[in-house]
Amino acid sequence: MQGYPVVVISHDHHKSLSGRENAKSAFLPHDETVWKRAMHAWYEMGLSGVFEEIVNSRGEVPPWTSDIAKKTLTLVRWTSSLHGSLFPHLSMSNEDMICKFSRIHDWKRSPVHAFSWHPHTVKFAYALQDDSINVHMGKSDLVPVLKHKLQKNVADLSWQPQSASVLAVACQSCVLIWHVEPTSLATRPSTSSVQILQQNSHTPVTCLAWDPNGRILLSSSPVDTGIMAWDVAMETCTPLRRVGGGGVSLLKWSPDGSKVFSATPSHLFRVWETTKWSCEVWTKCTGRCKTACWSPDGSILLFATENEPIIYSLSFSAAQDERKAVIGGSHSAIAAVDISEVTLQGADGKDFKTGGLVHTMVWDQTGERLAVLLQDNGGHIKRQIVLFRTKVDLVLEITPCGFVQGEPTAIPHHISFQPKYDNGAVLSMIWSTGNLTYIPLYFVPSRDVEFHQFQHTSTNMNGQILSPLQS
Amino acid sequence: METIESWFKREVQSWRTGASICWTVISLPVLFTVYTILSHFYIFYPFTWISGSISTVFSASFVLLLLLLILVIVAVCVFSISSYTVIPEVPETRLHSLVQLLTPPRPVHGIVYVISGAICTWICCNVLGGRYTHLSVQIASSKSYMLNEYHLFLVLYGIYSGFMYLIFHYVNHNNYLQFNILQQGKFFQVRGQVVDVLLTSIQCTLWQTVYFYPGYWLLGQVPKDWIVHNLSLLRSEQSVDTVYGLLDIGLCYQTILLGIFLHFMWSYSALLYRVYSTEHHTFPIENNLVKYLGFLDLSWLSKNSMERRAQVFSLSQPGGHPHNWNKLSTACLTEIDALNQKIQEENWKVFVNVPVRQTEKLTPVTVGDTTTLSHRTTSESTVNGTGDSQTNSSTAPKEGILSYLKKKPFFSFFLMDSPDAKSRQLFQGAQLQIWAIEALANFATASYTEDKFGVVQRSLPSTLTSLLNLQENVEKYFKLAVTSSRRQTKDSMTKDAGLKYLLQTTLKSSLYKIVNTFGKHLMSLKLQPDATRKLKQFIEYKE
Repeated sequence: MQGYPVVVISHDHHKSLSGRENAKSAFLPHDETVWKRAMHAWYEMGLSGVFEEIVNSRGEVPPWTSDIAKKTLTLVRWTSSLHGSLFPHLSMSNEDMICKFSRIHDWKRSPVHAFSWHPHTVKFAYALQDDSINVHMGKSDLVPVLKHKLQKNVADLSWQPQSASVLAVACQSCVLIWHVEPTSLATRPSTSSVQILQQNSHTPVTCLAWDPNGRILLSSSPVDTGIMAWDVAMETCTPLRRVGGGGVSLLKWSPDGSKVFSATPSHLFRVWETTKWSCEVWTKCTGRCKTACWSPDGSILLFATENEPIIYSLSFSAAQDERKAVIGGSHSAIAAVDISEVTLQGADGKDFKTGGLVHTMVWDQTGERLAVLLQDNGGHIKRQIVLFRTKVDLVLEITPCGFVQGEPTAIPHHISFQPKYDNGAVLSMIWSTGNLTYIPLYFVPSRDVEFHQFQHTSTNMNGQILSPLQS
Repeated sequence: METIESWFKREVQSWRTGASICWTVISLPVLFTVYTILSHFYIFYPFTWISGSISTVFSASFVLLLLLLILVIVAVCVFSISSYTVIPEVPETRLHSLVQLLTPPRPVHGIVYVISGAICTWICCNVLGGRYTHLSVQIASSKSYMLNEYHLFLVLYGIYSGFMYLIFHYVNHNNYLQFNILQQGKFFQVRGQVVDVLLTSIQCTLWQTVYFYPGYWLLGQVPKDWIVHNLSLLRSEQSVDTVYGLLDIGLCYQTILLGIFLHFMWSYSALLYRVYSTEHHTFPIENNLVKYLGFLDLSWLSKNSMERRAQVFSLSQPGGHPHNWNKLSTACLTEIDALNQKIQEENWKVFVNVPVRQTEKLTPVTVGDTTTLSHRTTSESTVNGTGDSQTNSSTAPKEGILSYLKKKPFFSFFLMDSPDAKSRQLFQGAQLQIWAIEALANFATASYTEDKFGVVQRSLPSTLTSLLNLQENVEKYFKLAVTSSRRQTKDSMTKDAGLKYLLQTTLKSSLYKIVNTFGKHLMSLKLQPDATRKLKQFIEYKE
């Protein structure tokens, strides 16, 4: 496409550090004393690491010490398992957790770990498996690479709206704020300008959402029930906390800025209004809410759960009285589309299977096209990206539009719409081959059509009346 | 006519203050009960502990003491209302911060806190019972009384806590009304912050106790002697101001617990007051603007309330003039331009300072007068030390003394300039302008679809010019004057230090908001060529 960079992520980038957790085994056996090892374990894993180390090297310590360590460890694990049985995700390792809650399909094997379009211009950033971030700006050959020592296990990226240069990065231990100067010629921007936003027990951060005015940044972690609302310039944060759910796995700010959707790792999700920050809760879902997207005016929310091939819709009524903070969500969600597995005949006469569980859904900024990335069940679903045509006009209409097919062996990992495109919408996809492809969808939004029709008829009338004067 | 100020005090502020004090009073019984239970804590006899504390809590004396405590706290709350401020006070030097502590209303607050500390401690001692209850105890063998030093120790600690809280309140900017980024419900705001307040209380108490112990060891004799002498009591057998006496774990526990209770009680009431008074208030549009809350409301309505925006965009009858908008935009632009002026002057000062130093080096050679030359050498180290001793004779000695003192180690501790005091002072009231900028940008954005008469768009050039000028000056200021990067100053960052960054971000995002809404049409506005050039940078997303 004209004006868009060609991106192919080479494989050596992400092969080099594929086995990070096994780095310890690469070194020779050591002969440090057990106390020194315990101290290292303290630094790396905290108190439970110390007990584990002592129990593992039983022969080198007095028997009573190892006895005490063993009993304490049992107690700690038992209590944590009790907690964990309520919320199984709490006992996961950081990487498993990110893998489970990431928007990238098959996070561990994907060539990129996170991807984000700039909200206003042709610019995007993506994180590679080695946790460096590349920033592409238009057709420019200059690709700044962002690296920072705290930038580990990048799970999400998000550009600040109403700004040209600010990128928020969700990392394992913190949120990093990069200022990528568009006029700078440096390929490795200095880390001195990076802001570090850190909050205790709010790790790993897996999801970010900016307020459309660019003032508030929300961050969430699947282990923390609080959503952190950051005032980035002041570097202060206000927690938004409600009991229940065991964490926050997904955040979506509606494009009109009036509401925020937050999903939890259990069967409930919330919608907040953004004036008084009160929330409504929806329980009794059939499973964890996996993906969700807002219509442009914030009146309809589409979501899909983990274990049903159905896209649900939830509608929100506009506030009658502005002084009162109203969310106005409908009582229960309506099944909008059933996409269970079906066999269809392709243009070449061969049958193919499609449908199934949803992994990600994205809605373009005009509210006219919906793209769905399906979950891959063992590789037999060949066409994983399904496009729908949508119309939000009093009632929601969704009609199938087509499929997107990549190279025969390629698996899609991520889909997203470019937030600003004048002639319709641009869908970008990242494939397992490392290719980033763009598909322009040319259409005229129905709202513009109606507007032009109206203008057309009115000028005609004017023309009839005023034609003698004009000529 | 009644002024807005008095109307606001009567209609809004008194209610808010009342509500915050009310909630403090309502939560006091709970707090006091928790304190009583914890203070009766006895590790080896849990049953005695629980039954003992329950019987204390339900006794009549407890209720009476609680009522007294409530009276004291209400008095403290009422007295401290005047200490809250929306503009943080930025001391230039440590000496300056000491002087600020001694300026009029504050010593009075100090006395109030000290007295309240003493009375509260007396109440707590009565609840504690046992050896802490009375100042004097009768000796079993004779009829004479002797001093109970445990009681005295705690009361002195209460007074000391009151004093330390005063310092915490002012130096730590606990009295600074900071407006929260989210307008959550008050309950959720308090719930979100109360744990932090408790942790801070514990931290402060531990810190102050560490200094109280050696202090009492050194100086405890003085108040003890004074009381023994004046009340003609006998000295106690076990004195506390010895190393052995101070090693009493029970006393230490009670001291720390008492400190935490007092500190938390005060800071909790302050938290409630802050939450209540920074709550968003809806103002009628026709009225003039009451400064801070007014601007907060303006920024809020410009974003959230279409109904009230419509009033701003409307025309007044008769005449069809957009009076509402004109008043609003003038108020906002005056604030913005005033800040712009201040920053520009500051920038010029920095510009001017550079060549001044160079000429100073040259002047001794050109003048050649030995008397002035010798004068020069003495005051050489002061940057502003001028040679014209005749004209500046009054200021020169003062400067000289200051510069001399600054070199001495003890005085320099108090006289050293805080590194970022100047820039913090420049931006200390910037919250107002930040809201004004946000409001203007939001109005401009909303006018794209809502402004039927083109009221706002007519003044778009002046708005843009003001914003662009301020943006340029702020950027210049950051390049010239802000030397230390954000990371370096982060450890010592106070609550207000982020304001300049907030201003910078807000300016950019507000300009982008206008640019994103109007797009290329902005280029057809008639602006100064300089402003057009700046605007182009924004349109190309290169800022």
